[in-house]
Amino acid sequence: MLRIRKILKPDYAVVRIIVIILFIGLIIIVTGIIQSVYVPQWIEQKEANHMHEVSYQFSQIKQSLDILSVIEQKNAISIYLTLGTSDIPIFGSGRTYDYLNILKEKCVLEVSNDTDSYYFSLGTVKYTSKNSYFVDQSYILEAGALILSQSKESILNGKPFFSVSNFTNLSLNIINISGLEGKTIAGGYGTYSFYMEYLSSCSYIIESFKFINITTNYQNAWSIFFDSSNLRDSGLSYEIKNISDGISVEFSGSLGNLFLKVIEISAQITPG
Amino acid sequence: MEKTNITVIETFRTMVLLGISIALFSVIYLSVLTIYPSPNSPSVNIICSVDEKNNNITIEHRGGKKLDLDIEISITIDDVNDKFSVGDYLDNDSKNNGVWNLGEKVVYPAENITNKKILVAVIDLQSNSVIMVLGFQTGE
Repeated sequence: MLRIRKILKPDYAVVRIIVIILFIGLIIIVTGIIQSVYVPQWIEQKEANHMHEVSYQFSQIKQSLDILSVIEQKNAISIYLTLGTSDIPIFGSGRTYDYLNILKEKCVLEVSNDTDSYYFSLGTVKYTSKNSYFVDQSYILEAGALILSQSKESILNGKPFFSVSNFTNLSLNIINISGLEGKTIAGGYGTYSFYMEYLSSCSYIIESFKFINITTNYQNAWSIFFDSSNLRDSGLSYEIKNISDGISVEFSGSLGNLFLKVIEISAQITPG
Repeated sequence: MEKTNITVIETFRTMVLLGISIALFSVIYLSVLTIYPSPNSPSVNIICSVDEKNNNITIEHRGGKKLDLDIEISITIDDVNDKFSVGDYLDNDSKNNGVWNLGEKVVYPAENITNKKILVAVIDLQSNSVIMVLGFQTGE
């Protein structure tokens, strides 16, 4: 009996060690599969949800700019923007950092008739995501338009005030956003306030306008804007062309007047 | 002589146990490795609009993942169903890059959509999931 015990004892120890090794191995395999297959899917979904949130926040900024433009009084509105996504619990990966910039003279609107050309340099706001798995997107507020850009493509998410009267007269309101010095760039992870304050507005009448040129990186979005039903149903004949640094709209036939209003808005990203 | 026998038996048993455990481990490893999930439904924003004036149903990519041209679209107008691929109704410029991307529109020409019930479904065959499904009642 004693001899049997002596023989079995070492075996028990080996079995226990093997079971522990097997168990640890199984845990490592399962963790590895979760890390390599499921975690990227969770992070991508999280980043997609964050982009939806940013889309909503930018639509609120656009709405606030429109309200400030309409009331034309010394007033200010703050909207909160979420930059970056938090990491996934336990696995600790997936944190991203986004950027928000107020850029100077990034967009130029040029209106010309047979005798003169008028230039309006406009400041813009640009949000850029730095996602790990989901497609990178940028939201841009340019001349009062809200643009969504993905790599080289862009679409118009919100347009500035634009209307046609008497078939050939155009009214267009554009917004020039100027950043407060030292408060124009933010990057990282967290919630930032975006403060907008109405400064002034100035109206122009440009008679018999022939060209509207926009210097922009988002040609497709501005083509969508000008190829709108307002202009299609007007009495104006026009042609939209992509040029090297933007788009050009050439009007022909019976020309009208352009009633242009430039609204000046001051903005800052961080408080203080 | 007895001691040598015991050592041989112990070594043999340990080897058998190790062999069984390695075999079991391999079976578990292979079976766990092959449990890969099916691809997720793509994260994409799609908007559908109905133009009663020109009898067009437009489905537009409004941001998110680029989609393959073989994404299936099912349109049912008053119980009459038509299924087609995105590539069938994208314009040539949009088709050139081989994907359905931001701002590109699928314009489906219908015969008459006034006072009709319209059901539109966008289906990703790869993940076997419905990306979008919605219904309209025109002329209300």
